Amino acid sequence: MKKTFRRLIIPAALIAGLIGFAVPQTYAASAAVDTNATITLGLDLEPTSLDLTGTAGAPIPQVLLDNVYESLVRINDKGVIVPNLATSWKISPDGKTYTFTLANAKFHDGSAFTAADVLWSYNRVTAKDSTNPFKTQFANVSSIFKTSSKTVVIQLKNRDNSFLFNLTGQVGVVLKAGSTNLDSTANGTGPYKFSNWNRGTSITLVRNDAYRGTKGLAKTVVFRYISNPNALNNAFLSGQVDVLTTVQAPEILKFFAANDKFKVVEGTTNGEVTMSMNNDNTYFKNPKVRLAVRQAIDHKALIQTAWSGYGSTLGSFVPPTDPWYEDLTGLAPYNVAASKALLADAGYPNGFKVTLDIPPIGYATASSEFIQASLKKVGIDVTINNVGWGEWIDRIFTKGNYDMTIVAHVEPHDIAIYGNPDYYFHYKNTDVQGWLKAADQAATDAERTALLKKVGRQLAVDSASDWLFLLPATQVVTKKISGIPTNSLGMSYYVASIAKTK
Amino acid sequence: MVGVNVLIFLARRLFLFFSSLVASSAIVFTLLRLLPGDLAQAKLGIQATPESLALLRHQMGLDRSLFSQYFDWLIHAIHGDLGVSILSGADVTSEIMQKATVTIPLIIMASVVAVLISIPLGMYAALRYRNFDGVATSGFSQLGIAVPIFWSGILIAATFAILWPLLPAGGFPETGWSNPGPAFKSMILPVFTLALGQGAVLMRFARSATIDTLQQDYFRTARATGLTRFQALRLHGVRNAMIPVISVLGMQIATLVVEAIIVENVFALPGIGQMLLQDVNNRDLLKVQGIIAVTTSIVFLVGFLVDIALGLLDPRVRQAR
Repeated sequence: MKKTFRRLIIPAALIAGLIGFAVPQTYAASAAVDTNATITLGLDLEPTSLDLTGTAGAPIPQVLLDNVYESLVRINDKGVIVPNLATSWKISPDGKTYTFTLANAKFHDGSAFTAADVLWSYNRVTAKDSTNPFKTQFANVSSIFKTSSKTVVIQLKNRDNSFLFNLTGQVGVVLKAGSTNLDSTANGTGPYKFSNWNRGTSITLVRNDAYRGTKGLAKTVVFRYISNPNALNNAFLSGQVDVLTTVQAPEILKFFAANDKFKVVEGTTNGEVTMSMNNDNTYFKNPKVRLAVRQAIDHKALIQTAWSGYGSTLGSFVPPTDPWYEDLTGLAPYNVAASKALLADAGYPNGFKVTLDIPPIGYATASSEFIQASLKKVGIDVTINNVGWGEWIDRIFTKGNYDMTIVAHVEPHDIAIYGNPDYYFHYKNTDVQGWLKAADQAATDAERTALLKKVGRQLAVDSASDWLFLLPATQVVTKKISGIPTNSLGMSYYVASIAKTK
Repeated sequence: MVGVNVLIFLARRLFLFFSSLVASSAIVFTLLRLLPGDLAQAKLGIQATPESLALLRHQMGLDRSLFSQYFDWLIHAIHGDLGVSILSGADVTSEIMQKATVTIPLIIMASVVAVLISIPLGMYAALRYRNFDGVATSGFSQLGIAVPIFWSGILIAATFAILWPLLPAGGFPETGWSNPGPAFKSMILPVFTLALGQGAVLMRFARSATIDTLQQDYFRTARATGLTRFQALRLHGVRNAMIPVISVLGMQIATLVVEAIIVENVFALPGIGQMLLQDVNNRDLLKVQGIIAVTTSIVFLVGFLVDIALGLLDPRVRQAR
């Protein structure tokens, strides 16, 4: 049904676009920030629970992380790790000991934040009976202890250059020691307090006026959840929502961009829309075939067709915001003749038949027919098979039983998944595995970056997958709104800097 | 002995009602479990370790036999306890009750509006079925049937909420019915959308039932006593014409429940339908099971009441079984 709705968005947008001309421009560009404002954000996916230590799923950290709950460190809108509940930290020369100095902070219930809370929270992750979804990120921790009420030491078994970055995510969140009822309440230290959750509709946060740092600009921030993209757009157009944080059908953006009541905000993400080719497959185990597939697709035209020209091309599994990025699109340029020659060389001059499994998400559906048509030109006969998320996770992701599929990998710094031969890509390159391991334990950032750069290049050389495009972060705001997080590089949607003018 | 006949009829219907409930819940339970996907994985995501998944499955009791899981659920369900959601930890019964405060009024108001529009119009179209306006009315109802509800909903929202911002484009006030003004206002467009499709179907039935009545002997006799067509229809025809309309209305309740899911999505109404769709997407199986059990109960209950009503209205229905 969702798909049907998505297709129907165009006529509705057309109507909306026409209305823009009819409505007189009544807004006044007053510069005064309204500190009593209520800002309503429109989002598509609602959390299933408020417990980000027991439930995965992006909607939970999106609303709670950095806003309500805080970790020792935070990733800012530029992708840089900055102090948060830790005002500073020291890493020992062998990279195994992290010493954090804690901030003077208070939980929303008024109690003081101390090292005991960090210990309680982190021991809960590593506990034997813990079902924390990100438990593996702490697998390398050998001990956690405090040397004072304001100093925490974390000792690792091996050097792990991803550890501090991982701490910026859900796994690093600090709860009040002894917290219960995490499914439906949240007692954090962040700039906003959890106020209430009207299931099926919205989550309301109110400013924490006792916050230790820069306080939030708006008094109330409402996360309004509307899963139907058309209804979400209507809510925005009729003024129920101030920020459209997600645009599921980018063709509508033209209409918003043309209307001077609104502003389209473009940013970047970590979301590599990946078309994986099962490297264990009869055909795709040959890198020449994989390269042939990549060269048969005109990626620029794909972005134009599938995503209305928003998003950028990718040459490997590295987003441009990562330090180890380099432009590798030149390694697999669009060239139908070269693609045919590669296929002939691999022994398939007449092509072959494969199935492309498509999960129910906009970019995948939108890209699938373009890919089918592109590959037909070189003789590869693609059958499009629509699958639900349950089946996708079970058959494709867990069991690795598929030919081709499309999904965006949005986790930050996730290049290491290509080092796991059992991952659903089934990509096996021992050099890559070695470099990834070495990168994790590299003594300097420069060394690590150099190694990960090698990995990125090798993935492109081997055509481990095809990377269709980098998902853009496109949002639409009314002209009264400023300060929304432009890029989507971490897991949170940080609201403290969002302001509404009177 | 009419009394005994009525009792036997009631007992039969009641037995049928409860056995279909149990059977449908068993089928739904099995089908949901047969779908690919794992509840523990749905909760813990794709980074979870196999050990965590196994631990969680054990904590949630998913490692028990399907039969004992179902039986457990059934016993609790009979006591009105549909369990807690595996994903959110929320009590399923109370969440359904809360969402029902949106969906039940939506369905009832839409049915009332549909009946109020369709029966007079259907009769009018029947009385004038050889005239242009009768044909036009009837043709218009075809349009109402042919246009899918999500499409008419989108158009209605675009027209009455965006183009002329008279009514809210969607949503329901957080204060619910305790603040009846805004709550009612946010219901108008969804009710209208839902009633349009339903009314069109009912109108077709009202029209053909009335045309049938117009050709009956008793109707001719009534006319012969000097009544006008309209008077004869009002005094003798309406009751007879209503029997097929009521049974169609009963059957339409199932369609209404399904269409409510769509309308709630188009208008972002936090009702049972929207919750069901979300829970299916999230694979919150226990909750889906509970919601389906409640909605099928409602559909069966309405069918049961319609049966009884028809049985009481028309002795032939009672004797036929």
